[in-house]
Amino acid sequence: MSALALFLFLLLYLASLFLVALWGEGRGRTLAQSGHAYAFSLAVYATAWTFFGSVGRAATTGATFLPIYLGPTLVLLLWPFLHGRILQLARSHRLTSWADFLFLRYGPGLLGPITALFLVVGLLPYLALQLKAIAQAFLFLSGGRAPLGDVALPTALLLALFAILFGTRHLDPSERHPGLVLAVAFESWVKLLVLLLVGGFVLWHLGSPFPRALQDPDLLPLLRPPEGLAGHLAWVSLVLLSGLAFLFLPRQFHVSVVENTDPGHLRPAAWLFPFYLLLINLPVLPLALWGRTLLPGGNPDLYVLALPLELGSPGVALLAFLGGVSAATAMVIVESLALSILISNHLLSPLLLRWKALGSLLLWRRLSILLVMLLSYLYFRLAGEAYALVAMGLISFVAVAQLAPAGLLGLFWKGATPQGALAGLLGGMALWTYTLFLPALARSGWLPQGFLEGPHPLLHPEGLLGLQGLDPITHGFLVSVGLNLALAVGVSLFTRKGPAPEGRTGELGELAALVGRVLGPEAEKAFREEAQTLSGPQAVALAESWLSAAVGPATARLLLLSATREAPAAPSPFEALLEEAARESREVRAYARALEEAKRELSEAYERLKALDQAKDEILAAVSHELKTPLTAVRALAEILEANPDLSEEERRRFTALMAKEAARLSRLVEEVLAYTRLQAGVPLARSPTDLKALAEEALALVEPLARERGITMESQLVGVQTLTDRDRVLQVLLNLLHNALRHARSRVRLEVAPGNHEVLFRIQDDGPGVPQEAKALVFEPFQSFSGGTGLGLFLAKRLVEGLGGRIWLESREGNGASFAFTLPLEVSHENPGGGR
Amino acid sequence: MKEKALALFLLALVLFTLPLELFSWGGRSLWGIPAAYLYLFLAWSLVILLAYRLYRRP
Repeated sequence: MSALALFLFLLLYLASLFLVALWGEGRGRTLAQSGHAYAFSLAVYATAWTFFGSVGRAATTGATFLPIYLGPTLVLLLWPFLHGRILQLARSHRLTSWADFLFLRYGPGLLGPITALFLVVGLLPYLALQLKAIAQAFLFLSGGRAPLGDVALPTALLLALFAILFGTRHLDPSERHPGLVLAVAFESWVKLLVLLLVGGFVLWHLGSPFPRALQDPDLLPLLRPPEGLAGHLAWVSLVLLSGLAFLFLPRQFHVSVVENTDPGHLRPAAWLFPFYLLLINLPVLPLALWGRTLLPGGNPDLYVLALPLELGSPGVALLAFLGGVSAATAMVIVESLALSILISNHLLSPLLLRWKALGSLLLWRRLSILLVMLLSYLYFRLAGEAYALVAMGLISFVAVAQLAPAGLLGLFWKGATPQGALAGLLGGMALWTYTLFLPALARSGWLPQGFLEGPHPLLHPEGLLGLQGLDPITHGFLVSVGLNLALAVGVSLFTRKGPAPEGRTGELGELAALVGRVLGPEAEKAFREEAQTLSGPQAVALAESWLSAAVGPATARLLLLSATREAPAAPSPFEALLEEAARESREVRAYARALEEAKRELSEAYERLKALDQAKDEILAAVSHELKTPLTAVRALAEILEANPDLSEEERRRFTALMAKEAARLSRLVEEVLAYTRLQAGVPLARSPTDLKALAEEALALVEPLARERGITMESQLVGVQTLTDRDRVLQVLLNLLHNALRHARSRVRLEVAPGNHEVLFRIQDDGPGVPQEAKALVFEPFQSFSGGTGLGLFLAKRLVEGLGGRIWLESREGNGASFAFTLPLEVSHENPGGGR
Repeated sequence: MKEKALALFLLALVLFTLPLELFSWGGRSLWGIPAAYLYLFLAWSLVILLAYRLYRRP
């Protein structure tokens, strides 16, 4: 195949990628942000290493290509625990990478920059591997031999341009890039369809490879499950390793978290993406077996291309080339973008801030993409066919897995400390370098071969502590991640968590201006809108998350120092809990006090009621007795009169007078009891204009006979007053008070009526013994009789006066007689607007 | 749902990491296909099917 035609074909494919991405940013945005595009974009996991390398691995080591895809299947099943949680955090804090998460979880320190640097070192060879795959496939199809890098350089530059155009249009990398996602999803489709097509084509032409392979002693080991404890351990390790890599690879974080538009997309992805992996792996083993059978001397990594050519179909081979290119380019684009964000946010931006050149951060991010791409190219040119490149896929996986202890413990264990995380990461990195990275360099001839022996038998780089029988990857993975985990847990257990970072607060205006300076006027406007309803510390947190996404968390904190001030120490959640408990206990105490008070009042009321009830019983007895005495007298007198018709006229008149007097007493008693029941029943007032002087005179006239009988002088000082009131009730009050006074007086009872400002004052005085001190509080209570009365008179008077809008009180001093006073409001009747008098 | 997700994960973990070598059929072939591969792909399909049934509805 002509190299030029192939190159043009490659360019054409890359151009179509640009078109797809453009479409995704325009009309295709809905599709780009759909759940299906999300699931397919996750397939950026399957790189050229999958497309070409899986067949190569299956052809050399058998089934061990499969665990690489079983791991991600397992991890996706756990999405409600893992991705759901990470997405939530990423949304609220605008995380762009695991390094951001580590900063957020463990606070400022070396973790972020070290992680960023380590990931760049660990993943550059992996990127180089992709470029190599493209170059190798190109050379194989065009029939060329050297120089290997011809086509890789322009491809790398074009991919850098693509990543810059569709991934770094704005400074904020936490913004979505629908064009990029759609292009990646499109490439996932291409590689899947092509691999299935190539597999189907080969099977169609050659049939099942299994009957033949099962007879072939050379191929038989490839069809067997892993053998022995070491084989099984390698298998399990690969499942774990690939699961962790799927979770922690920067490009996977980018597509699964940063580019996620809807957390609900995780649901379909949890089965769709594993299904994708299953499909793409179906043709791998048949292709590997036919490759081994038909092309015994060929490079197993190129069987996908070589088999169609062998079967005389360059068209299918061309498509296979396209599939390989699509797998490589998708990975290169997303990984370089993710790495450039890591580099710019965790390594460059603190430096730029120091040099006062933060404004050029976007330019530096674009340059980092270019730099990452050129370094990868350089690595590929330098390493070429060396082991350091070929084995780099899994070695990179182990490097990425070093983030797992700090990341997962940080997510699920409150006790993880920054010291623990850092110690684990450094320990894991050191062992990774010693057991995997340096041996790879030694095998490539860049270090003395003696290095592979180690300084001591127990320090063998690929068999630490005398460990034997494990392949280098399994060994390196187990020891480095094991040490990492042990240090992270152990150091965390023996270090204390630092004090909580001081809270900061600030003015919305200043914060918005800062956001505007860094992210541009549009962001400033959006920030103002979003932060309008937030409190000071909340607005600072929002500004921090926005800035942190754009310039990295460390720089964001430094920037915010100028625009914020220390907030009054906000209580930690624990303190808030204590506060809450104290408040509750105060409330409980107050409640108990109130209960106690209510109980006391209730018990007092009960005592009062009991006393009243007893008094009522007593008074009922008294009333009955009072009624019985005159009744008996009337009956006896009537019987005397009946039995003695010959009684003298004088005697008869005396008896009749006695009977009339007793009947009057009976009548008064009944009147009072009736008045009491009326009052209890609440009969409404009957107001009318009333002359109070005339009313007082009427009352005096009514009690005059009783006074005369008892030999008591009635005195009065009355002023003429007219008001609107219930005449009968006032008369009842006066009579009750006068009767009471007459009952206690020795020789004199005085009634005064005097108008005041807005009321008229009545005073009834007698010269009796007065009210004893202990009885003063009870004189107005019902059924409290101290002189053989009904005990209702004063009670009725009080209730009637209050019902008329007045007040009544006792003025007496012991020994000086009793003085009862009451007031009535002076009210003008509508008929008499001239006034009360 | 979290319980089901965890149960499915544990089932998948056991199915995917079973020491096949210890089974009598581990090294044989069924219907002309190596039993180990047949088992792995069937187990994988089963897990995907269960995941589909668990997660298909929003």
